[in-house]
Amino acid sequence: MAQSVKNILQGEDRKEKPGAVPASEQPSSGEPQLKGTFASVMLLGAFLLAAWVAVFILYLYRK
Amino acid sequence: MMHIHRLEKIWLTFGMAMLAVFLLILGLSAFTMGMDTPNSGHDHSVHAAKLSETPPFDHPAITQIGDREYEAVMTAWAFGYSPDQDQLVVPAGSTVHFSVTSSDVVHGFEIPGTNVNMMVLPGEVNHVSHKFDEPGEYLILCNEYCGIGHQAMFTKLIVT
Ligand SMILES: [Cu+2]
Repeated sequence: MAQSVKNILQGEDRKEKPGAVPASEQPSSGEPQLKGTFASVMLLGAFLLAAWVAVFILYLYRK
Repeated sequence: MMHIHRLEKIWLTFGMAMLAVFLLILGLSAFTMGMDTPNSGHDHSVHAAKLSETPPFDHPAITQIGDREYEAVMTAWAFGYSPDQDQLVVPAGSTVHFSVTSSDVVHGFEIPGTNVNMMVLPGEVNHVSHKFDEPGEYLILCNEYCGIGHQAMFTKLIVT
């Protein structure tokens, strides 16, 4: 990792591999891996949903 | 043709459904449970500088309008509320319908621990109703910064 960052900073590799992306992020199938993104988006969604429901229940309770 | 990842479709659908459900619940409860805005259904305005000659705000008062039902006509001003706090007394179980306007700047009208919380605007009459089941002293306070005496702007409703 440190080596590749250093290469980018020094402008190396650029001519050989324009726009190169590390293999771990770009599987050969062309589909990006979004499992982790999906999990974090759904966790955030669950938090928003729970917070909204909790506030709405509090509002009804004080009605 | 734009390609959208399968998981991306799921979370976009989930996000949009959440927004739709939230708005639907709020919209439905506004119509079915009266959870509407402080100005809705009573749209009328007054001249803020002429409140002292505009009924009913020329004589702010709390009056009984039914069995355990009261109407409180109130004005907010820098830095207090009318009528005076020793007049704001109702028995437990009463529903109070507040109609409040301002004679000067924007004020707030909040009773902590309840859903009563609205802005008081010069020129507009805002409404909120609340049923007071528990006896006690209910603080009514200004939560909109309105000037140098803002922190001292409050009154009390006594539920006996
Ligand atoms: Cu104020």
